[in-house]
Amino acid sequence: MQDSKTSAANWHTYWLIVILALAASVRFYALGDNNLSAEGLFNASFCNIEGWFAMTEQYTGETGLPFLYPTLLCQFSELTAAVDFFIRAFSVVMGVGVVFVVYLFGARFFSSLTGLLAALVMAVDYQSILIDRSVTSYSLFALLCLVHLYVYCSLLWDAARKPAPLAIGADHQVFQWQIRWAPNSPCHTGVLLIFWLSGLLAWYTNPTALIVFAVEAIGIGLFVDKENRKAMLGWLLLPILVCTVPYLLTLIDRTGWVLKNNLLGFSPLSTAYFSKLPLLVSSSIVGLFVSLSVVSALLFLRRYSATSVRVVVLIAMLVIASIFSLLFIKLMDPRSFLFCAALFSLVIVEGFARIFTVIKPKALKKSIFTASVLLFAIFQVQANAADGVYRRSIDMGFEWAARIIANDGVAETDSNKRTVLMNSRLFQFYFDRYGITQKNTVRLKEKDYVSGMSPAGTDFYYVEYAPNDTGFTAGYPVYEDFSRRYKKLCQANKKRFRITRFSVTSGPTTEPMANCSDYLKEEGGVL
Amino acid sequence: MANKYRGPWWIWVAAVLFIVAVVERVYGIDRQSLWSDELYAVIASYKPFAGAWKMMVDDSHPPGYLSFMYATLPITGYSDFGVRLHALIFGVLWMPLVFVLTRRWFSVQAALIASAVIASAYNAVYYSQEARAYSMLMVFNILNILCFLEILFAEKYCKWHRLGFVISATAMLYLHYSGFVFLSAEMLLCGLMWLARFRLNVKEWFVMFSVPLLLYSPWLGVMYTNLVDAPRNWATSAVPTAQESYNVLQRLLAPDDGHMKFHCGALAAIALCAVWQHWRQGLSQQLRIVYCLIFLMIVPVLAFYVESLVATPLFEKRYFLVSIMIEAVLVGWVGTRLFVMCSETLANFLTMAAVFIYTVWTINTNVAFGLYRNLDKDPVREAVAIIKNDLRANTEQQPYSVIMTHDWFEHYLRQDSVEFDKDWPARRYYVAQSFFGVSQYFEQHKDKEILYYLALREPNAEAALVPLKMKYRLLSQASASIEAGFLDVYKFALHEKPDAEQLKSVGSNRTNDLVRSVAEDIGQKDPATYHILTTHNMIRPYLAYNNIVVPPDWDGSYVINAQADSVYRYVQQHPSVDTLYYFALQEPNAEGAELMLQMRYRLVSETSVETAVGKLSALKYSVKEAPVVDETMRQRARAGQTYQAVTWLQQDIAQAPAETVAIAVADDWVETYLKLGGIPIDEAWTGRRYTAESEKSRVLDYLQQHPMVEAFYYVAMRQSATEQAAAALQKAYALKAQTAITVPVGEIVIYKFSTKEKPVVESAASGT
Repeated sequence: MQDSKTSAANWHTYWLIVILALAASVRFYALGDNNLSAEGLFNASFCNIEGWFAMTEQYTGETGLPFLYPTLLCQFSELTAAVDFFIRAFSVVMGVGVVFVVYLFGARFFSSLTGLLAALVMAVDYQSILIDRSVTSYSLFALLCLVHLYVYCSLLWDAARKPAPLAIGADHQVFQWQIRWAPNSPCHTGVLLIFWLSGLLAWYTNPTALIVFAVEAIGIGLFVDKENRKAMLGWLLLPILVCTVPYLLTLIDRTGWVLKNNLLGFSPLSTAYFSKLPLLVSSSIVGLFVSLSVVSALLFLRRYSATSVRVVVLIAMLVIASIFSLLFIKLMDPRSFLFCAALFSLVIVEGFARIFTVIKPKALKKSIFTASVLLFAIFQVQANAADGVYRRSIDMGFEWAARIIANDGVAETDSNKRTVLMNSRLFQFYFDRYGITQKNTVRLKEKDYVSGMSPAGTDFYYVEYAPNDTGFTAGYPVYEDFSRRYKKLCQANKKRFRITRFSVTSGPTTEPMANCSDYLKEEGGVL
Repeated sequence: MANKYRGPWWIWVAAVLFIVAVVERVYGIDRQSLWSDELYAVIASYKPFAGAWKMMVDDSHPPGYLSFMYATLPITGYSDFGVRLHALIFGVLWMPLVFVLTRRWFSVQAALIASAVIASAYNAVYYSQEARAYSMLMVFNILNILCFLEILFAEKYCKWHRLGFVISATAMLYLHYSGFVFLSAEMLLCGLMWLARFRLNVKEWFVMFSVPLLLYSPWLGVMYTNLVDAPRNWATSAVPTAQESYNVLQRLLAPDDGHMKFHCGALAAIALCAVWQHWRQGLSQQLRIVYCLIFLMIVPVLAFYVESLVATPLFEKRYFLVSIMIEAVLVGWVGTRLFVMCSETLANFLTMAAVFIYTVWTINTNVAFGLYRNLDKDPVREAVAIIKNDLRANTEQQPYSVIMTHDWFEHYLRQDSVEFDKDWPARRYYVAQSFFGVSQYFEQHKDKEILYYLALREPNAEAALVPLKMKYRLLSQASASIEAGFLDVYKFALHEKPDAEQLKSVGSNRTNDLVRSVAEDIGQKDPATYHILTTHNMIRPYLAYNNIVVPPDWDGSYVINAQADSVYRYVQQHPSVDTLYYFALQEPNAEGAELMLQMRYRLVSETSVETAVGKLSALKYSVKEAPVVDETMRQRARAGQTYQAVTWLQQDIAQAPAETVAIAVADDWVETYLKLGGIPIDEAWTGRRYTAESEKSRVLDYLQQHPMVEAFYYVAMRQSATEQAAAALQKAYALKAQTAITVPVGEIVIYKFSTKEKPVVESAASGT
């Protein structure tokens, strides 16, 4: 009997390894080939700021988000390399971590099969891959939230529920040390520490964690008996709430801005929002319906343990809370709820896992499971590729501009003669990559521009990024001022990007100007 | 409901290694285009099985891999990723199999170290990203070693190991000829062990080795041909000098010097450790396995080394990739020997540290060495993309056609939906000799306006380009390049003539210089006074370019001596012709053809130039003057196969007086040889050209008028008409002898009749 259990556990472990390998493969595939999006460049740009305090201050000032993500991202890129691949790899690693924690969640509170299937769904889910391959904080946040919720469930309903002291140490003949802490907590102290830590890290990554804390508080109210309720609330959530205060003050400070910009109040969920939610895009709605029907039927027949039912209720509360926050806070990004989607995937696959459990001959069960997993993985990966998950970013104008300047034929030794002016600092990342030195680049803020500026050198580029104006239809004072005063040597446009090369030595003419994109035409590369 | 099972510590280390190995192999798998060797299997899979089978037989490798691709490509798809997917899957399996092998005979720590070595090995990653047989071959190689050791050393082994050995050995044999070398190494090892009195079931091993060989026997004939033709079929390497051998081993084991030093050190440590353990503990079971692995690691390398020294140099790392696997296993073994002094916990920790450090070091080296940056595969995809982009840029598309030097371009043409005529054989245009087929096609397809030419930059293709440039206007050209070479794309306007500048650039080549010299010689002569002959149609555009006038229905193709009759006839029918110009690319056939003209007409001059496709000569003959037959010409004639007919006749006629012999010849050109050999021909007899039964009376009349004739010879190319003609003679005279001589265009048959004897009428009853 024991052998059979071990064999099944081994089988699940091998499958988990394969699924994790699959998750890593589909996320790492051609990761360095794709250029960073504006959002990614924006986040990566903070790594250029000297000093941690200055960096976090600017990051919070510009995004309203706390410091943890840029701190970790910059450390990671410093440890590896500041190139597209490694800047993205940070989120990808977090994404693979999400898949692993989803398995743990499923295996602990439902069944190993549920964990495996949910991990598989998350491993190949289109939106999850897209989020994990972007340079954003959402993957890290999802991982931290999942760890936090996993620990929460353990504290409430699993072995960690029993009070126990924290004891860490080494006991060797030569080297002995021990840390022991035994407060009067209603649960395992070591696990409680992890709960606090993960909660705080999640909070300092994204304030959406507040919703998680709120749901957890409701969960304690619902699931913990009266005698322990107060103690649990106090021990679990109070320390976290105290530690959130510094950033909470910042958040309150920004409330005025939120109200001013009318970012609160009801806004219907647009289809665009739904299309961004994981699982709903590529997964079959019929499959979802079948699975949920099975789960509902089993719940009705009381075939689930109390813990599983509680976890389902918790997930339902989290999903409802996220939908409500999306409805009432316009500022909220659906990608923040990646952790919700990961948990929801457990409910989605639970029905299928139950169907697999019904199959009795083990060999048949394994065969059907293997075939189903392979078919699903192949179908989903192909669908993802066809849907363009690996297509180059739409914001490739940043690299395009850098390539044009790098290929204009001006030798690096003469580059002092040519200045590059830009209206967004996002250009800097690829300028650095293409050897366009920072000393020759100047960022101009449209609103602060004073007419009559004269760049140094014989000619200069002015590169522009207009996030909301694909065709540059609006008026741009800096560009207009330069156009009035200088001759345009060349110009090229791309959606939301414009690059113009001006000559300082001569005034505007009516002569037709060249196309700057011609610099990119490789000699003999096109017919 | 809760799952309390936690696997052993090592499973998570192995899992991380496995994930790292997968990521290393997936990342950038389709970064480079599929190249010619990979595309061979893809092109085969587009064909019906008969066509694919022909490609398998023509290939220089066994058919296993192509058959596998033929069966699986429709499932995996034809994208670059899909084509390489099987290499990825098999490549990923290397690591767990090495883990299992090492863990079975050594320890978990050794298995982890061996896995780390193989997970990030440069060649392991490289060949997992290439759609060729090697990654699959290695999987069967490791399976084979697993079963081999199990059968040799395990206390109990089951039938599955025997079955596994037979299947993996057969798969190895059908995948690559190096599998044969490895199996031979195993046989040799078994033989040596038997000599060393190791407990070995000889009968069983005989069966184990015989079954795969028996299953492989249908292919042995083709294998023999492939190996005999090795210098032509296989990519030969340099003869392995000490330096070259070191370079090959470095390419095999490590990307850089640091790793090479590590592996050299590891190999030395393996040897020392084995000797030390042998000395201290005697020959243990584990040591026997180590010795076996060392043997199997070294022998394939040595086999290719010796083969390269004594025969065709084939000392290429990919032929003994299995050595990397075995070395990894042995590195794992020797690594854990170092931890033997430590406690188990410390040994585990040191193993994890070693695995981590080695993996990071190797990945870093691989990246630095350009594993994901180097461009070493033909940029076929990029070359076709040039056409695709051009078609996309020209929104008003003109009807176009695509020709190419190699059929592997077709894969990407299909993928990018670039149209090409699949039923037109001349679309593969590699040598200038095939130009006529191309120009004829466009004469018939006047609707085509644009021609794209995809060419691998090689001397042949460059020569093939010249006639195109001579005939059509080159609109533009582009190229896709890698470190190793170029693929060129040319765009021609089919209905526009080349301008002066284009012609000037083309006209400076040697072929054109030669044609120009002939044009100058012709000068203002009346076109009716000369006739142009060529071995290849590639000359035609040059003739037009140099204003050499040829008749509208002109077909001056003259390749082989057997065609000489048509030339002789043409000259007879056109008495105004006084000069023949013959452009001959020097090939064995052209030599005979040239001789035919020289034996009939006076050779006035000969000019030759070296071109990309060989030596090209321009020969000028005066048809109104008698030829000068000298000893050199006779020697040249004797060198040809046709002269064997002369030799046979000379021996048979021997000293017989000329008046007792009569000869009829079906072909004029054969008679030219006979005359040169001094065979008595009655030139006064106009009826000696006997080609059909209907002309029999002429021969019989002649023989009746010449009663002195005792032996009559009839010499003819074997054809149904000449065979009937000979049969008709057999009814009148007794056939005394008959012989056939093989020549490039068929068989020359010589019949000898006795005019003094009646034919023997065979009775049906005699049964003879």
